[in-house]
Amino acid sequence: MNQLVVQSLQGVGLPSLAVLIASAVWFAVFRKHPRVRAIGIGLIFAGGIIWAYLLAFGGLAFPPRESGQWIPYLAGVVALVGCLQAIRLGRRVSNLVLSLGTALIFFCSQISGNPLALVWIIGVTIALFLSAILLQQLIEDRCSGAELSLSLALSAGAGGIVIFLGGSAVLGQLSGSIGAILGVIAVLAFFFNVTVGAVLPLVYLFIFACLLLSGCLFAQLPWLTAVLLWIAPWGLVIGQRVDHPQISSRTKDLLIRMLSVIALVAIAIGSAFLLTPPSSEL
Amino acid sequence: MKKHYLSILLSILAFAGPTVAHADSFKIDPFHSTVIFKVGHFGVGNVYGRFDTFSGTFTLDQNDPSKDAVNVEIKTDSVDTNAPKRDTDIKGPDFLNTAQFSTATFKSTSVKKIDDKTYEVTGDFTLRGVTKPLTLNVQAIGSGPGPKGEFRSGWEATTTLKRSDFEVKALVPAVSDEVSLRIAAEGIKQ
Repeated sequence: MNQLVVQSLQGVGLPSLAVLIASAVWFAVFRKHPRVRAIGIGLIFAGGIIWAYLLAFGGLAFPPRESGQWIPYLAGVVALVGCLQAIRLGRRVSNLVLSLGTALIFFCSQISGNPLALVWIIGVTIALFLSAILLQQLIEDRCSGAELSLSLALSAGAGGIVIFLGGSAVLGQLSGSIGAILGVIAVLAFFFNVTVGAVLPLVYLFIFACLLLSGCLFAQLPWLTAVLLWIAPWGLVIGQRVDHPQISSRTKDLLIRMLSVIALVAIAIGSAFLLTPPSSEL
Repeated sequence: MKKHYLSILLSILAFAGPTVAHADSFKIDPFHSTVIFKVGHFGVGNVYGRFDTFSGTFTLDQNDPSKDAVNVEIKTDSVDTNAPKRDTDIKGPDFLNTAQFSTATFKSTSVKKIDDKTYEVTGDFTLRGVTKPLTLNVQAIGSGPGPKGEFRSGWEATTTLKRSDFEVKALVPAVSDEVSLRIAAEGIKQ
């Protein structure tokens, strides 16, 4: 088989398999302890991302010299902050700090001599902060674990395709790996009928933001595609009943409620095919 | 008598023609210089590319070659492999990440004379923000007056580096880790 295909399959498959085993054990043991379950699944997810990064990039770079090299460190930091949030840390302040930190990863080096960088920093910080609050409070509180994980998996998986189309096989592989890991967690959350808590979506949010920003700023990922994928998980709230949160993942309507997410993801992929110049054969 | 000696000396100098004097500085002439590279493709072939925009200087000290010095700066977004789509990929985050690292540089730290025409130039090569020592095998091509009477000195340097040493690890080994680099430089005496 083609070397590239084997490498990609390993990069996507191995972390997903590890997350499958660890998450199954964690869900089984802490099924009735939502806080511990949320912390554990968030850390397992972050660990899966770090391993997927190592397989895609061939190792960690320390100290990080470029935006993409911050991804594994950011995954660890966000997971830890998420765990602290699950215990007692205030969400708003810590989310704001994380949002600003992520924006600085991309634009800090450009501040001197480029006033526009400041605008970018403020804009990205606000977008990330609002997204984090919305994802944690709105979606996480009103969705089952399977719904939430599946919608994030669809966005990240589609992110893998469009970033690859945008000219970065490595970032695309990482996004695809994250999609596969979230898919595995979605299946387990459905099987165990549990929520996944607020740590996992927080980690997803900042890491996926890094991938999309890297794709747009340093590769050829169209901004429209990135924005569509970014907002796709919010499609979950469409049609949900405010007075009836925590809808069970066992209802047959799960896929129907996912339709808006699927539609947004499909439009995003379509836009990438239309807007991205065809990739080269290296 | 003194006048006689002086005229003999002037005659010798006149016939000697333009020579490289003690510690002369040269600026690389981009129109008569080339930076090319070769990379393996799936173990079955080689792809060649070049960087179109670069600059540099070198200093030649005929009395003491160890005092020679070379500085080269290459604009990474000027990469050209005769395939624009591929060039876009090479400029992207998987390879050179030119948006964040716009230059690659070489600054010599030592020069060793092997024979009259061959030198080993060791220096710090910086690519994608990573600096590592690199040795160039340098061959003197020639020197002499150019079309406008300016004095020129031509050299050709070759080396092989591992791109993974510079955090450019994508698609190894399908796209080879080893990259051959060749710099053909013609310098104009300043």
